[in-house]
Amino acid sequence: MIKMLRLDERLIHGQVAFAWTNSLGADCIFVINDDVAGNKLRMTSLKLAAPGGVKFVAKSVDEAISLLNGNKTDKYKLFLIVDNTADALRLVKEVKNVNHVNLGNMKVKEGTKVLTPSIAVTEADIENIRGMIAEGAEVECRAVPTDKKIIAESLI
Amino acid sequence: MLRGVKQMRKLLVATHGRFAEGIGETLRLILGDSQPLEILNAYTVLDFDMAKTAKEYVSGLGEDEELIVAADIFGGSVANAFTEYIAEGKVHVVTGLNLPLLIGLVSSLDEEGPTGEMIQNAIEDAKEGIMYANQVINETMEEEEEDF
Repeated sequence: MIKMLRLDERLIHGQVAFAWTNSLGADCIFVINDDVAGNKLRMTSLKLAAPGGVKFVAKSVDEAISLLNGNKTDKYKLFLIVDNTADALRLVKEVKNVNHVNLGNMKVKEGTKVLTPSIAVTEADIENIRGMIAEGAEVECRAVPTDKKIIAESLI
Repeated sequence: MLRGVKQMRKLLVATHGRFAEGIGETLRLILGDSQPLEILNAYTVLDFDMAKTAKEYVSGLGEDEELIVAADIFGGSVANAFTEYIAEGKVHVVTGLNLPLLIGLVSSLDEEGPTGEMIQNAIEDAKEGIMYANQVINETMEEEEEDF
């Protein structure tokens, strides 16, 4: 079962490992990222950053889509994590049951618009977010679970 | 303490100087703004009296309340002032405060069961949080990747 998809440029860090995993009751953190899937050092560091007692898997976006559409992942309470809106949109579109997207951390860069203290987006990000909403997903902004949930549509 | 009786646990982070305040701020960044803990920055005002301060915290406890003190270092005056009260069974003092310990204590504060056990578990987890990252990463790189 997919509990939530989070977008976080830092992928796994303190907020993700301790606040979100607990609050979702997740038993598997699934990092979906092409670079991580092909980079053993990054993968290892992320695996170690995941809390104890929780399964950690990292795959490329293509692999993840086919896994999530199969039945091998069914027995887990999955916490999916991506680091960009394009990957998030692909998952929302191509995987059944990705219907809750949490925007966690996106840094301010050149050409970004600040939506919340932890979320800054480009025009392309806004298009991708609109795409997720059009697919029927709830897209909300929160750094930690106890923050007030702000619906992305109201900010873009 | 009677087993089975639901105790209210209060958590106090007590340190020499502003470490308590700082680690409290870090905790809120990670777990969210509202956290169930009190902060004691000892010796940050001239007329600070540690013994008197500890007494105030302990005497302020209600009938069903227990106090867990997370202090910076064993043998320091901050921890010592609270260990005076452990005989009554309502005060628990944990020393060697670090962030994994504080996260562990906060996350298990409402757990059922004896407070002593809950603290022991948090300490075990916190000890594992102290590691030489280079070594751990190198060792883990050798392992098989996890898969579904």
